[in-house]
Amino acid sequence: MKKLVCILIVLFSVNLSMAMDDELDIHGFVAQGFLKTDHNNFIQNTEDGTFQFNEMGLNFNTQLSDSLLMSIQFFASDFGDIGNDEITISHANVDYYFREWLCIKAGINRGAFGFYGDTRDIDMLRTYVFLPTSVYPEAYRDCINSAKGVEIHGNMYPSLLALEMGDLSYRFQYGFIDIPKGSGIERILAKRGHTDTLSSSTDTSFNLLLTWDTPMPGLRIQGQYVQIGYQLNGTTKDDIFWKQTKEDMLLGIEDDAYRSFLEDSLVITNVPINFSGDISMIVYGAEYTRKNLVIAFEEAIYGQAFDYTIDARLSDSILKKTDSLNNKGLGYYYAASYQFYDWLKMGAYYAVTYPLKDDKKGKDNLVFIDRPSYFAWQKDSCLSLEFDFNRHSSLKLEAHYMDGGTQLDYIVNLDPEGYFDTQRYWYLFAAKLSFNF
Amino acid sequence: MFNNDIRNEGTVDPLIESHMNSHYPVQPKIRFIFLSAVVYILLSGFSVQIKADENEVIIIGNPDIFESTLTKKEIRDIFLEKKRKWTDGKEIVLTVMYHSTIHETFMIRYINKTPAQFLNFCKHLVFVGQGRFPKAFSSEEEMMDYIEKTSGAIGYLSQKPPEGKKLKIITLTE
Repeated sequence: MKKLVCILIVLFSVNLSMAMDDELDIHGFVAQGFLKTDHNNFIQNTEDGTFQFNEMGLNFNTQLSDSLLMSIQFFASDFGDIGNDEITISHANVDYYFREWLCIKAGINRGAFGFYGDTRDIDMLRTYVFLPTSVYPEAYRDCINSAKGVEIHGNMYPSLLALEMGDLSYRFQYGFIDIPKGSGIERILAKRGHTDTLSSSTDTSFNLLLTWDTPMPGLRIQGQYVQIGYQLNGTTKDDIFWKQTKEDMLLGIEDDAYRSFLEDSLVITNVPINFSGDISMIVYGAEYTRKNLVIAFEEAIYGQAFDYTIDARLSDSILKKTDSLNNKGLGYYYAASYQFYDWLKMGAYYAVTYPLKDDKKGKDNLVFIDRPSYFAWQKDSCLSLEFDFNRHSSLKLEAHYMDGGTQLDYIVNLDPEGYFDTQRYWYLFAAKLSFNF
Repeated sequence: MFNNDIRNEGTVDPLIESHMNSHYPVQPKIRFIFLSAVVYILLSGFSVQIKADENEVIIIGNPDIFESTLTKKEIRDIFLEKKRKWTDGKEIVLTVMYHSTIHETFMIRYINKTPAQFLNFCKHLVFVGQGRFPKAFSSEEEMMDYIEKTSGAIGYLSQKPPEGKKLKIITLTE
């Protein structure tokens, strides 16, 4: 069925293109990857090697008038349990160019995120198979890929005392992000809250990205703030986390008889829990390009500010307990890439992730109680080679040396014992063949 | 509850400790290779010389273009699709000639990108829904013919166009 839909889309577009006398541009890409780890399953069964790592897209765009550009892109990918080659619309919008400093885009807009976030699905646009996952974590992919709504964007040229200060471009996006069930962010929140998820939903989001192309040629600086409203309903797990939480709750009770009564009667495991709040992301960085060399640094702070309510049971009655969950994660990377020849590019980066920036060693927070401490960080040293055969095809070979396992449980569901089957130090090898037209 | 301090040195699970302490003996070697690669890349980047920058570039456009002069910065904004309309409101139509010396010279001198970086930039615009690919040609004759008959079109040549071609030569100003 999926293949039939693809064929129909292609046939329709070719006919349309001919009918429109070359005014409709059609482009596309296909990328097939391979992943292998020596220890730990990253995404899915990577210890045995996996080809479940591919992307494909078909893009149509046309200039409707001097000011109106229309673009639509169909996209499908497979990424372990995520995607499964389902055809989706990655963007479908009309961009109205009013002035250089004011353009308005409406429809499904590609999410702006950092220097390279909007290229995540499009392998050919970067040197690396994986963007540094510290700033571009796979878990947040669904939150930042695209949003239904409007985008206002443009470029301005500030000056100070008659001195030109370079270009300042902005992108402001407002709309609704349709985060699917089983998304990475749902898993993160459920794991932080030791909760079995029943349902989740999103509110509107806003996203402001500012990029300053400085007067120094090749140097650009960027800052961004994203906020997404989010709710999650589920039940608390029957695990050591909630048992410890209950003990902590009873610590302050001085009346021994009452405390003993609560110990026997109060139930906070396997009871309904509701999280409601905001996911926020602050990203900033700098990129310097000099001829064939590109150097970049970016840092991201991921915030989860949620109020939660537990329907605890006390004998036969329901006792509502409300509290808040405030987590801040930190990720950053340093990267450099260099094009030696038209056909050869090399890149390297060092990326560091801390899911809780205030507990970098995994010793202080209850969240890490049931897993090895090295789930509190991930340090990724990456070396990548890109071979461009021509304008339309390339091969990438990439090796990662990992210290830590933060992002292992973003994708793969680890049971309590599974955490202790992992290794702190591991290698990831990735290869990807890409074609585009 | 999520910030409770529940661990101290005496209560860490022995199994956790064993995982924390296990590591590969090759770790320092990997770090050395990685750092050496980064240093090599950095040093290489600052020693590269691109000779294409010495050639002549003539900017041409369709005669109906309102502008007769452009600054280097305006040319850059046009080819990076930041500026998409001429002063009189006409759509700007970009033309390029990949795999030519003039393309390389033009890119480095005016756009501050290598041809590969520019191509990637164009792909980026297209696949995120922000712009279109420039019209690509394999010879200066084809490019001149297209610009001559396409309203709002702009391109570049390695020498002045022959007599009889209805093309506007755009002068560079500071």
